[in-house]
Amino acid sequence: MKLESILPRALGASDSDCASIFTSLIMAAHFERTRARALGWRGVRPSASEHPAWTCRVAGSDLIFGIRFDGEREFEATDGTPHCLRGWFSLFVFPPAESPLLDRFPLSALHFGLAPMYAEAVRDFTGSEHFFKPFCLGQLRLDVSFEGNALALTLEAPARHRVISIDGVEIESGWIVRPGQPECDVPSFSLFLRLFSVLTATAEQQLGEEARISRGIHLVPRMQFRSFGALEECESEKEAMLSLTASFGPSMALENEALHQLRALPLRHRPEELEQLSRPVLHVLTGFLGAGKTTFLRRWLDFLHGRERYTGVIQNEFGKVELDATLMKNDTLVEALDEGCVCCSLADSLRPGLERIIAAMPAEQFVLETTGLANPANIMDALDGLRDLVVPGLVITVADALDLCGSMDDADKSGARPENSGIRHAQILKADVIILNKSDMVSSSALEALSARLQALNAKALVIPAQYGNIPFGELDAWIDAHTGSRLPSHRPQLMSLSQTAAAHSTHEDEGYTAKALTFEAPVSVADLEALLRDAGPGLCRAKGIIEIEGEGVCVVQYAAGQLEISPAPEEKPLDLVLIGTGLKL
Amino acid sequence: MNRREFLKGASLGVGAGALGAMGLYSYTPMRRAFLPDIDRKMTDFGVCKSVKVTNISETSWFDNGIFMKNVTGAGGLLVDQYTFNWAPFGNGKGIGKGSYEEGIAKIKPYIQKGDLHGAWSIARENSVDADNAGGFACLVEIEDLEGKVTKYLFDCGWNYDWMEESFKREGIDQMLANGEIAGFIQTHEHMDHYWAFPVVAKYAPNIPIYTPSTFYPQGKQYIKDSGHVGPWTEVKKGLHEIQPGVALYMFECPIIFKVFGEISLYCNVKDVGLVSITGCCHQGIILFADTAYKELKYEKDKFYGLYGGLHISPFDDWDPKYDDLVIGLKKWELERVGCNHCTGLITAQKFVDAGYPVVKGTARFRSKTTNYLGNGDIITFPA
Repeated sequence: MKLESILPRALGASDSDCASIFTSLIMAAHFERTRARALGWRGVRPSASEHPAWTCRVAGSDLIFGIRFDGEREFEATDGTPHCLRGWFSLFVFPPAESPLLDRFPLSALHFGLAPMYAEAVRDFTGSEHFFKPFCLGQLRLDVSFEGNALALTLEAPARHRVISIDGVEIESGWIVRPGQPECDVPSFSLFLRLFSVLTATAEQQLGEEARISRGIHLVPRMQFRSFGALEECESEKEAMLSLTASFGPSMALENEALHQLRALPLRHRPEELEQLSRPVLHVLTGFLGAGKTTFLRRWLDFLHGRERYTGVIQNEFGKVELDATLMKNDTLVEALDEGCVCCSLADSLRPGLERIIAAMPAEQFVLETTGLANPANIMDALDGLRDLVVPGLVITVADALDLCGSMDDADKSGARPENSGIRHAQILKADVIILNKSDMVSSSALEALSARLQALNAKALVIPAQYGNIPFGELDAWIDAHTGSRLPSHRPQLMSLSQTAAAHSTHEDEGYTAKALTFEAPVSVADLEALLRDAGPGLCRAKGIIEIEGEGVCVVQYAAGQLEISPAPEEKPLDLVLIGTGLKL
Repeated sequence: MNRREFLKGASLGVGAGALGAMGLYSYTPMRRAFLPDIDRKMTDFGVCKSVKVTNISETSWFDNGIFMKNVTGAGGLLVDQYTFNWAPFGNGKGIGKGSYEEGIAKIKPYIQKGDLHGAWSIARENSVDADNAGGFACLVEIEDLEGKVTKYLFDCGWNYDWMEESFKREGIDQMLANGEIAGFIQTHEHMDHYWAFPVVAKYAPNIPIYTPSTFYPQGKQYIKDSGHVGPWTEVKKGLHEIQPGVALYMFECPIIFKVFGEISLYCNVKDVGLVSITGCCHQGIILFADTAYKELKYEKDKFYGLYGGLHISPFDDWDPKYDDLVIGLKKWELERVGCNHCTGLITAQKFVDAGYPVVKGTARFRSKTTNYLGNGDIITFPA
């Protein structure tokens, strides 16, 4: 093994070299999110304190771990052991406040855990060390040779951490702890095993070799205390201190403990199928005309690309104007599919498009932005035939709160709500995630009612309100993580009534949608533009394009849900104005 | 009554002291402290009067789509930057098959002659998407308490042609040639911050330079191959004061494309507070701010201003609701922010929407938004 693959410098430059090694180890593991997750990491936060410290979560556990660097010491070479450095880290474990596990912690830990600020305070646990001391139940050691050819990680913690209360703890209504009984009883060692396994797997990956695993055990005094606080050793009981060591390179055993070799690392994280993909994931973005799909997508890409999670986009627009691709220029690699709707002529255009973009940019994920008229049920059917290229991911539907609430009054009279029929219905029904966009343009009561209606239509979907396509993207990640693979609602086979099946698979052609492109030779006034949209008839759903507006220059024109928006264009070149709807009078 | 129910009641009324009297004793067998427990170290590094930053270029590359295509095509984020076949180290063998040695051999004769346009032209023929390269660099001017101004060049960009043009636009070439710039600070080894170093060495081969001590051998060789002959300080982990009120801080952190370590700049402005300048902040803005808080003593204990690229964190937060730069920076109550480069256009927009004191730019010289302190824009601390 070579230490320089973790820390590219000689040891001895600081009084916290082991902290540097530790932080380099976990930071490098997080360059690629999928790799970090496959190792079992579920989030890390560096913690503010004088000493380097971190909080983190790992797969398969709802605990939050705290790791705090305590210091390091140099050991001179002796017979059989090389010149090496040992760093000590305190390990803390924070169960969720509602967890029964917390009831087995020291009373002072439980007391603090029930306080309202517990969840927040854990994030900076070293800032209020006094309160968190009873959560410190293990230790991590990092040994490393100055030659840089040996490294070992050791977890040490009591098998059962018990402290006996000699006098007991009594309140008015009786005993909380009976005399002579343990005040706490925590299976410390096993709580830290998953964390240790993730750390070891991380070191294995970066050092490019498998660790030798050994375990040790020694007995330490069990402690007991009296009500006035004096602590003493318990004569009748001992506490078993367990240790687990993962070592790389030649042995540096600094202590003469009896170590037993183990064949494998206990509780090693086994990544699920979706975490170890060889093929990229393809998410499908749908949403009715003008709901804000491109706006949402640009915000999502900004979030992803800011974290170096590169994502390519395949866009399909109804009508020949590539406005969305123009707006997204420079954001990412965009593959624009031919005119027409991907849901109707999918097999023909999607496969070559996908092949082109995967070849040009072998990213881990892609987003297919469909036309506002696409029926995701048709797309999901077609994606099944593309499994050799991609793994189908989420169906995300951007819903237009204004559009869906706008006709509420009429809907109340007729009983026909826009989301209950046609393409909108199919898009809601097939969604894993519903982004309820333009939530700021309707009243909060209307938004709440709409949200409830959508959730009633699709109980499994995550419904998130958004303004200008902005959502807490971290929470979208968390939801995806909780619903990987077959657990996604869109992947679940759905039993539908006959009428639903018909609706779900209908296409925009069945519903009579058409697109018309208009070219303007001269600048248009806003009033003329408004008149034109009005005269197009009640069937007009959407208009978009880049045209020259009188007195404003070249502008992006967007019309949806009865709202006209005009904003400066990213480039001077006008594109046609496309109108989409039914029964257009043009 | 079980302990949980009792303590729920206790957390309302009875304090921890009362619980202690009842016989609670938190004994933990594991805690072992070697370093003394100090809340904050608060190193006093003096004060200066004001700081002015001129953005020479923040556009590292011009088309994100092309850049991502390069990265994924070469094999991803773990690939060594010198093997991408990015200019100027192209060897003509295609994406992911380059090497520093082969690349520099082709352009070194031109660098030695001072013909950097010639060097870049050769590189363009042998590299992938050379014209997509831009660069990150800024000029930092520190005014001391007596009014004397000291200038530092902070990073030097990527594309020789683009950086020559940008230097000329801001008069940096003359300042370098006239010895007006006291030092050159290289924040980290990334191509977009570092690879135009021959442009600096051409005008000021003797300029004192500061780099992280953890440059890889190619990066160290490039300093020599660029013709630099002046003093070179390799900044080790931690604080490194360069003049009263101005200090570098080296963060040891691995960075994508096989780079290690990043230097940030802290300035303590008298009666105003701390001003921090970053290249990319790969260590993460949270660690960056926390480090200043615990390591440095600064005026009014106030985190006043921030300039540069703001990476939120190298990690996903375990609590997704905190995975947002706007939330992450809130507690510092900054008064002047000039963000750009890797911050993200939408993040910058969110800062503005959330009412952050973002100093707007002019979106000139290929910068994309006025929410960025863009190319050719200036920010001063205090205002």
